[in-house]
Amino acid sequence: MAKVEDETRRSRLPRLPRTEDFASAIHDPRVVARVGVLLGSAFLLVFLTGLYSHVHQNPVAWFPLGPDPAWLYRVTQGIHVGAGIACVPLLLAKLYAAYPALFEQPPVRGPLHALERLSVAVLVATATFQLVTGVLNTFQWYPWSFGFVGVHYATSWVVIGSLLIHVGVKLPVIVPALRARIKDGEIVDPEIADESPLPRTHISDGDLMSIPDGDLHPAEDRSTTEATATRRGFLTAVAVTTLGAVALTVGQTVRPLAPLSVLAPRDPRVGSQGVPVNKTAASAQVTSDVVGPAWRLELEGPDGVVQLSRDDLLAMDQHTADLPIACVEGWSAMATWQGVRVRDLVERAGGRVGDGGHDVSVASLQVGGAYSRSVLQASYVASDDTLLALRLNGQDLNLDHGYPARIIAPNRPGVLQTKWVNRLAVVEPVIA
Amino acid sequence: MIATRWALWAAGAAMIAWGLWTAWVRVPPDQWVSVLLWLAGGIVVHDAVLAPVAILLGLVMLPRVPETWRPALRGGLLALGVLALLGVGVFMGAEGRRNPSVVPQDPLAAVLVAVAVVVVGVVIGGLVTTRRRARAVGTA
Repeated sequence: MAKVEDETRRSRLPRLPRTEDFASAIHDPRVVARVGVLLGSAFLLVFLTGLYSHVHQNPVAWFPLGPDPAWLYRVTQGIHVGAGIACVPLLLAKLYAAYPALFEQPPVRGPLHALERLSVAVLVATATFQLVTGVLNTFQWYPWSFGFVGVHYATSWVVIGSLLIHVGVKLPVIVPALRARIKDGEIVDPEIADESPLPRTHISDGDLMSIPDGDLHPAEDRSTTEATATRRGFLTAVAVTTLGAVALTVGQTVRPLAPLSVLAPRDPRVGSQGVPVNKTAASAQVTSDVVGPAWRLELEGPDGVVQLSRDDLLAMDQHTADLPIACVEGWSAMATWQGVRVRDLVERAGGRVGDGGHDVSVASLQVGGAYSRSVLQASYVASDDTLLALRLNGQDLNLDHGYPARIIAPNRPGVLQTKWVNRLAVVEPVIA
Repeated sequence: MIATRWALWAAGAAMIAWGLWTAWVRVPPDQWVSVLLWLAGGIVVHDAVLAPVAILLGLVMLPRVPETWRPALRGGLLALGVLALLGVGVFMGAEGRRNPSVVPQDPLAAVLVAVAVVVVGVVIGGLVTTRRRARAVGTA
């Protein structure tokens, strides 16, 4: 350390800083590891809830989905976006704690070290990419020219894969850094029986050493106390900022917190008929002409095809269900829906309901878009709360909410709650 | 530990391979340039913007404030980083609002409230740390 300062003084020329120039107690494996645990856990949570959402939209036979509990998707997707927002301050804090490693000298010490630095570059690039594009997507701003969903899904695997590789590389640093305690001014590892001080080389990943030592080896009591206060202060600040970022956004799905959510893209209390709208009738090119009195629902099943007017549907048994509409973008809102049970329509078309029952293929008047078609699997068809809804919160559905008829089912992403339905087909199970 | 490390590397490599294959089959070639630009953007923003800003703050600002105020200030700067991203979202979401339920709040008021929350948070954090440290020194 002293040598570096001498050199700097002698040259008096600005130069790139080196890893050992960063004197703050924050640039310490114990801080990096703790923020890393929080960030890694948050990323894993986002990944798993993301996979759950992916399976909803791309069903597979080995992971059966069902309508119970009705609130499940609302919670998992709320966590997906909420934990994703929490990742933003955690990633910034992690990068800040570890960034002196960027100025390592020499930059590359061999092929293995080059590979390690490359893996960190991939992790930083993909993690930043995922959070930035993910957050902007929730605000429906797309300043890029790629399809978000496919890229978001593919990148998530690369993020978690490079995260695992990074943890594998750093494990010899992470484990003692998390266990380390200060005793009599020395760092000790409680796992070592006699609690003898750790040699400096103990907290190292050997050949791949690329995270800063900071003041891992406290010199005297006073500086240790200060350094500890600095580290604890930083971790507290990170925790408060993370909770604050969540508190100012999570009201988009946790309704009691909606008044706090100044930075959320949505307010569950705001929207026509008291419910936010994603796809409008105008953007789906659904006009009042095509849903006028001439509109008919085409219902196709083993007994053939029937045409039902909205009055025909209103003349059938009407059911009421309190269900959330839960968007992939992370907002959700509870609403009261009224309409005809889909199971009643399946039975009317001569289909089977229950175990081994039929699926229902749903088609919309919506022009274009990936979500103008959806499939209700047999488990959903059987639910009493799966409706072809005609009314919302005590009024006829308005055009933006899918008039004359839309699907609403429990535990289902909003993009699959197809609006402006004009055709239901009772079909053999799509996923056997 | 070496077995755990190899397991993590193998699982990580397999997941990256699956992600790349998924991208290969799902993302049309005419979108790759945009994807790569945005991926590189993260590295550029970190190395050319965030790291220099952090160095400047460490050299210029933090040494000039009392030590007990530094954690709160670091937290505040972190919060401003988060606010930069969410603020861009709020403004651009409101700008291209596709229907009245998208970003229903006034974007300027929303961001000003959030900035005020950050400022109040820094002041409270700084005062609490200063008083707690003074008490600790007093009792020592």
